[in-house]
Amino acid sequence: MQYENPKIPEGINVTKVHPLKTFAILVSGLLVMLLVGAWLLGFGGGYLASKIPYSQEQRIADSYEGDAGLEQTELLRYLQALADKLSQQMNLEDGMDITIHYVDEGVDNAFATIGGHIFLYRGLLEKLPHENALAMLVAHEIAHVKHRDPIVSIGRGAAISVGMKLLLGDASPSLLGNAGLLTQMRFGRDMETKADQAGLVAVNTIYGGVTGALALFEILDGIEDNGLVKSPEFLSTHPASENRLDELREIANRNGWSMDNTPVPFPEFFNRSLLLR
Amino acid sequence: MIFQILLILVLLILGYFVGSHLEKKHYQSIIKREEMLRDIPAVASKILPPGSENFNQVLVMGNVTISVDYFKRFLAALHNFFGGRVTSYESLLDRARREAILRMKEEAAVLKATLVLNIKYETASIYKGGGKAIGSVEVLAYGTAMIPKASIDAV
Repeated sequence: MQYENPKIPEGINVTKVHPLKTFAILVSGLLVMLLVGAWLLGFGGGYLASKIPYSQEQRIADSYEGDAGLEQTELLRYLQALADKLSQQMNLEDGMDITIHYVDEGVDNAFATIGGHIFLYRGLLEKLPHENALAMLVAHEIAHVKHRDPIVSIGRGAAISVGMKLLLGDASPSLLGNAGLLTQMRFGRDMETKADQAGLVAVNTIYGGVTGALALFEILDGIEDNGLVKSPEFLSTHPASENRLDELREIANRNGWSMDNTPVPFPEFFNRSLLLR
Repeated sequence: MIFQILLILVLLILGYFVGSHLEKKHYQSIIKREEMLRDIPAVASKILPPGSENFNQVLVMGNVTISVDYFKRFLAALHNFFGGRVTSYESLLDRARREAILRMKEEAAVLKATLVLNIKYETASIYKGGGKAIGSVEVLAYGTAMIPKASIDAV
């Protein structure tokens, strides 16, 4: 019989690539596509949201009215007056009203959200030494409102979550739920830096120096140090306070702003009101 | 969410290590058995060689179903997205074809055949039914075993 059975070289029907290598290439390709997609969606959503008229933004934010107890205490009147003074200084657009809400919780936090609502927590206020530091904090949050950061942030978040919903088929049921508006507010680091600078300008104009303003960042730095885990700067949206402090000092130096002015103390009732509750 | 990601990761790692271990073992067995059955050529030709009147012809076949592990399936899904060679399935099909031929030859060897003619493959994928049921492939190899009449006489 004339048939023979030669030995065929091994592996000729299989592409010689390590499966883990293929896996790494494909997965990283997919991740890059997802990240670029999310970035584009976020950018587009943020851009579109910045075109929403402020009056509409206020209408969306109406749900906050009253929820933080707009009971007119001496403390709240004082905080509101400070905010009004700062917002006048910061040339807010017509119709951009700032509403201060005081939250009686021991959290070291303060944030601005849509519709010009600024929430200040007792925990952070207790740590502030004088009015100048408080003014810097409020001015920083007003600057967020002025730059339309809250609505841009919501626009970004909404666009990304719609994208994820389309891609994954399901996501959280409420895209613009109240919880999302309040807690998922994330500002980019550039937003924070710009807000710092705008706030510093306002505080310097009103108080004739930046001493107290810089004190705020020293306090924030202390709060960070007390935290159990200190996240590295690239993970966090807020620039590390030491870096912020250096940057702001440099700005003050460049502009020749006074850094040894005497801070204005809090009015006599301030600490009492904090303790009272 | 985190639990789901962890589950997928564990399945991937498990699929990769178990799958590649089994594949390696299977290939070792295939190569060994191919060597043992080397003296029975399997030919696709339909034409009976001269002298075929001295042979009896019997249908022989070998059938195998091989399942795909989680890692390979994940990789194939990624390939589905990006296009290109589905490299993770190549070795799977290679193993299935060779195993089917081997089982066919083993049957032929039992019959004391010296040659298998007119061999053909049938393949079927077994994943229809459940949407996320694991995919597997079936390969059937069959051919005409040529058994020398002398060896039958001898029995």
